[in-house]
Amino acid sequence: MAQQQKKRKKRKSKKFPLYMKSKLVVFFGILLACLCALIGRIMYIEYHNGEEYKKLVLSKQDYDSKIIPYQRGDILDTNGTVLATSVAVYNIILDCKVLTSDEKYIEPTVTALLSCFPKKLKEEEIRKYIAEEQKRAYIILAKGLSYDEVQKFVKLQEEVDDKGKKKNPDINGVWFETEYKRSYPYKTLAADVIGFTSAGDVGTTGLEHYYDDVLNGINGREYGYLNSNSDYEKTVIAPEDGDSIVISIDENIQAIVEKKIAEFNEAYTNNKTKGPGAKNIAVVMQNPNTGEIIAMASYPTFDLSKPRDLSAYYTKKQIKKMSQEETYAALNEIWKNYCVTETYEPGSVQKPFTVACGLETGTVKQSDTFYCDGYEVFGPDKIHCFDRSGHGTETVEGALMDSCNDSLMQMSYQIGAEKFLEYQSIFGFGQKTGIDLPGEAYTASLIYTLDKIKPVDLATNSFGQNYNCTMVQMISAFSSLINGGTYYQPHMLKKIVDAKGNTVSTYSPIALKQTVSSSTSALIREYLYHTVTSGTATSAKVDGYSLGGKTGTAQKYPRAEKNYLVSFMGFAPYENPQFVIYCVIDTPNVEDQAHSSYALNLTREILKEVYPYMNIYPDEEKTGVNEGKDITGAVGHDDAQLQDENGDGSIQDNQIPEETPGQENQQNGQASQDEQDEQDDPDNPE
Amino acid sequence: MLYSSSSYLSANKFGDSGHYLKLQIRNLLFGLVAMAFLTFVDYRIWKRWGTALYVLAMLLCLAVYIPGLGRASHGSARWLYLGPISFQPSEVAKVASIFFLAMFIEHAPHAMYSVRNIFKVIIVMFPLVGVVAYMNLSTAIILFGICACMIFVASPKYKPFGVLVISAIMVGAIFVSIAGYRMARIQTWLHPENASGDDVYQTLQGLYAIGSGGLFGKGLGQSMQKLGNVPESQNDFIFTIICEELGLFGAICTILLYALILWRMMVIANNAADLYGSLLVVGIMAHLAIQVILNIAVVTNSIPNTGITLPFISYGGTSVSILMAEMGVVLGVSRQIRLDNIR
Repeated sequence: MAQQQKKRKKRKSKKFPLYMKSKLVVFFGILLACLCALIGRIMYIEYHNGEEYKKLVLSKQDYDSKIIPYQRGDILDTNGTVLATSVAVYNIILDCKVLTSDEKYIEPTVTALLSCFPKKLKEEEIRKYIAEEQKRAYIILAKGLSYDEVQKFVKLQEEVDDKGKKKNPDINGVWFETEYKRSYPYKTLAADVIGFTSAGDVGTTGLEHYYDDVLNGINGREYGYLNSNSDYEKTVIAPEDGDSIVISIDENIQAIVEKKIAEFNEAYTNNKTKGPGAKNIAVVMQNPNTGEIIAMASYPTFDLSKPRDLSAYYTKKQIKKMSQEETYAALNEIWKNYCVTETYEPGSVQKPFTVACGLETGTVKQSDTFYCDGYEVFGPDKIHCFDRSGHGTETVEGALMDSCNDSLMQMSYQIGAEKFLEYQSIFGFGQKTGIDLPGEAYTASLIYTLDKIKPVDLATNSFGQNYNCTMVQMISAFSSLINGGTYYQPHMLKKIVDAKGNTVSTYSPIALKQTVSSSTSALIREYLYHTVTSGTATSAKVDGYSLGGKTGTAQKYPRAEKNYLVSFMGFAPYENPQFVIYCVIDTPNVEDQAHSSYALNLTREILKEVYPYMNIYPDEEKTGVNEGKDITGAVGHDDAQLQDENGDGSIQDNQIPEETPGQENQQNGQASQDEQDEQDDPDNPE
Repeated sequence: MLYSSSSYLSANKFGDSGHYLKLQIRNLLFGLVAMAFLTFVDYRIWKRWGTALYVLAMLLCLAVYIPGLGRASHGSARWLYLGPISFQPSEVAKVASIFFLAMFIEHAPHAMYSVRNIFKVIIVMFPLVGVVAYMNLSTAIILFGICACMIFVASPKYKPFGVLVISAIMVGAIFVSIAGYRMARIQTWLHPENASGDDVYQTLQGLYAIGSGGLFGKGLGQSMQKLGNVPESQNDFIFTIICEELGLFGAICTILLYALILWRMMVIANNAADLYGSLLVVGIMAHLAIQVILNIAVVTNSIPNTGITLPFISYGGTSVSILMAEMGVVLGVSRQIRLDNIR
């Protein structure tokens, strides 16, 4: 029925005639033309007046609105000690408009200002503003006053008598603007790690840089504008304060480490040559069970409250003479975090990794023995063990305890290049650890690849020469080696806390991979324990406390200069490691550098104070080992004589042949860590 | 967009940044219901109501002057309060004239061949346009424009319309010179930098907003000009905030969206089942197009400042409801298209 009706209607109804259709198209065309013209008009405004209008808008905003600053978040250590914070400072603002609105305000206000801030303000200046700038509502009289300084005036302004009436109602037209200034209560403590901010709240180095976004908040604003009735209206949007970060560094342990580094540095300053005790001294401590960094310190360092002050390292004359580039280079040298940004050849600290690789892959068996005749021959080159006469027959454990290069080279033949490099990669060498600090060195081009490696490279790699790593890489890999085989990502952040103290997020340890089996891990622990009790690392031991570890003495490139980087990697307690410590001393300022004893002495002195602090109790019988030794290893403060400790097993580990042409060539690509810059070496070791 | 541009003002006035948004959503929902209803009702039944609608709109417009019912806003009485509902009768007048004209032309399409008859139509429309023009010039211009466009499409002639455009400009000029506040607006237009007062302020601030947007704008919600600088930033001048926040790119996209809607309307009109439907769609198309063009022309200072809203985007309850309803009519027309009708 309805259908029918519709049909009838349709028959009856008129259709849209053709001429109307064409008219409609014309109509649409006109509309389109209008729209296009408008687009053109907008473009014209945009391009013709855009810049000018943009400026006008911005200038208007500056005039009519005021920023209310947020407070940047704090950096707290693992116990909640404040390492970096933002404190409020105040600017004195004079509102001349208000002040001069009534004659009776002027005298009391000026008197009050001068009595409260006698040093900051000059009477003539204020009088001049009152006389000449009566329309200005915003004049900064003084900047950066502390809370206490300002309080005197505020009290005066708000003092009330018994009846609750203001005592000084005529003090008017002065107010205080809040600003925040970054402050570092411990100044030099963990300076490389924490970093500093510049230009307001821009994190420039360290954690300040890495967690810049977390720490910064959002500025609030006070908007003022004239509404259509020309009345001044004001609204306030409150600022959002930044979040605070809690990091795994323990301020007390960090302080111990830094104190001992300074002590060591002092002991060797101006020793062989004029200058600091070593080119670089760096110590990292990590919790092997979580990957958290407990302490990270390096020398040279700087004062966070005045990061651009070079006077600690250069004389005034020298600083004056520096060009801008030289100044920046010098600053970068003290700002850099050696533990993360610098690469070097690790030396014998690599040996446990080689052994672990052999044991894991089954290419080296616990019962294997090696014969050390003092050297290995590669074509025309001879690579020596440090003991040129040879260690004789060595077991696997013995090779580690004596730090025998010859045995390790022989092990590397059994392992083969493919498996060795596979394990290098498993241990994270050549890869970034992803630690939450800026500027981590990229070392992929500084280790060998399967197509490039030659037998001699494999042999030298096996005892830690000819490839580069960073301290974080090394300590994180080592942690996995002794904690049962779990590789944790090294990290600093523990949690993020908002401005009110509520936890925003908590960082839980990230176990990235299994590097070795727990049985291999246990074996390595045992070997390294014996290395400390009766091998080359005895000097590191604090009497009564168990310790495992491995020394390293790497010859630096160029070999001819006979510069060494000595190190010690240790863990304690032996049964259930609570921390791993890694000490690196780069080019100690001594006659004969090739002794890991420098690192061992520094480690021992640090551990002496760290054990009690960490509530680690003596777990062994006292044997009187290392008794009375100071940071130089001398007994009874015999500072002048630097002992050679070959007697108790501390020795120069590595003897890489000098001036071997083949070797030299490889070094070109592989180990130019004398150049401190980023590692952009060609990845072709040939 | 509306939320962004109105949040500041409403937060100030009502303590709730979503105040305008909520109101507008309510209006939009109302409009949606109307749209759905009109989509499914056969539009042909409105043919009978054309004259009645015309008279009703006329009465409503006159009712504005009854004390207690009408209320002034922005200097001219435009609002009608009937119990809890308030609306702008001039918006109703636009719809009424579309329906009325569609009916009128459909009744005798061939009458549009002669100029005399075209004038007849204009004379028929004059009372409504006149009443509206007295209280609100901009709406009158739109009304007049809608009529002109519909007749333009319905008539095979071109010449008279050229004359019409010229005379329209003259009529506009006369009206402007009669009412004082309109003269001020013209002055503002010609020399925005020199003039002073609220009008120039609005225009200039709008220009600043457009100019400072750049290619891609400052980002949603980042407008600075909306913070009390551009008056009625949620209303007539919302397009300036679009320019500022979304930049040239966003502005062009917006314009292209309108062009797309207009194009679809043209297709529907060309294929509608009958002449009445086609004419309805043409009228609605004219309404939409005129408002868009005039609004953008105003904010870019291409023509003098008049209070015309940007369809669908601006804040305004009556406007959005009516527009949605009109869309419903267009969809209704489109629903009646049978494939075999398309040629």
